[in-house]
Amino acid sequence: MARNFTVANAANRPLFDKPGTLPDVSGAMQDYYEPMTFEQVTKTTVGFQVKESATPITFRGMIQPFTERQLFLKPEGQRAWTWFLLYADPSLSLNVDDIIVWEGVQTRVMGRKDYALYGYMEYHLVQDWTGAGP
Amino acid sequence: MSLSVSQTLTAVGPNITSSFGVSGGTAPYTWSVRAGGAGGSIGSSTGLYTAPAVVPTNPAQLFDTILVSDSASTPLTAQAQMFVGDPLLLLCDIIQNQLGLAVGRVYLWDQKIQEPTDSGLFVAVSVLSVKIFGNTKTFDGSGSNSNSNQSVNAAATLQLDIISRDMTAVRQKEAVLMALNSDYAEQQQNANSFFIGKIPPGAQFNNLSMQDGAAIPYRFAISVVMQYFYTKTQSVGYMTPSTEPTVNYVQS
Repeated sequence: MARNFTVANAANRPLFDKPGTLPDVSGAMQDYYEPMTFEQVTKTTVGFQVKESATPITFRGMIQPFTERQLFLKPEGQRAWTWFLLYADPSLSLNVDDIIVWEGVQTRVMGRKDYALYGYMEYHLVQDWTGAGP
Repeated sequence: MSLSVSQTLTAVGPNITSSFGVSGGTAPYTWSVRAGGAGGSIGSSTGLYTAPAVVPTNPAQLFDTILVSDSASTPLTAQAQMFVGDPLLLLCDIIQNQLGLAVGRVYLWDQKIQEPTDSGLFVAVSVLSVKIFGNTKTFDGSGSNSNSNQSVNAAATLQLDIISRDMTAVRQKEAVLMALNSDYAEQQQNANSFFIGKIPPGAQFNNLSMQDGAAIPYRFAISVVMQYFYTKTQSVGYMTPSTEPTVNYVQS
């Protein structure tokens, strides 16, 4: 029995093929990710004092330095800072001003782009040499 | 039948003694301190607790757990907690105790004001300045039994930040001052040799509500002065107390 196959041309498909949904790119991102482990520094109050503790968090993600263009968009004084862009699966939930330790270096979350509806998260990180807490 | 423990103080400074009592069960009772806490000791038959000479640096070890058991064939047990802190921590305890706040809502300012995570009151205590009035050292004993007793007498100017996301800080900021002027505060000051200054007429809460943006809608700050002793005793086996030198004047 003969079947007719047609190749769907992307140009003929509307941007939102399925009304009410967003393009889920999490499947494609999985191939991009690597297993990663951060230590997240959290604060609790014990005996009226703030106590920091590090909790390991394991997730899949991809980290890369800022491109020249991304650095250029930063204020002049911040271009010399060591910025990183992190893509991660939505299970990683960090907030702006959170502290993580990556590769033994304290790093601060400076930006959070919640693309969870598309299947991923984007974070802007900067190496934090001040050693200040979260 | 059950045991219940009573205690005259719930928070003490270093070297301070405080008595525990027990009711119910079968006398005599045996007291002990659970290991791994602040490091105080208790008379096994008297229930007289003595705080450690030094306040632990690890905040998780600022509490001693006091255990008591009776002498029944199947012993009953009960326990109580004792907080051991320096005057700054004891001031935090006074505020927490008198306002009935949960653990974690009163804290020493550390790098930044913590954003309130829920409604209700938070109080951050920060040290603005410390003026030193005395710095003394005395010896007691002699030879191998000598002790060096050092003491620094200081007056700290503190800032109390009363914070909330809802209207609690607006409504209860005065209650913090009442806590510092309470009978419990007076009891703690008498027992632990520190002094919280009275709020002078004309003192005011500074409304800092607009400083931290939407995360901390309500924040009021007021300054409080606290006078305290910082003491340290250590054995110095080699020390012989100094004596007046003998000077022979030769008249020419």
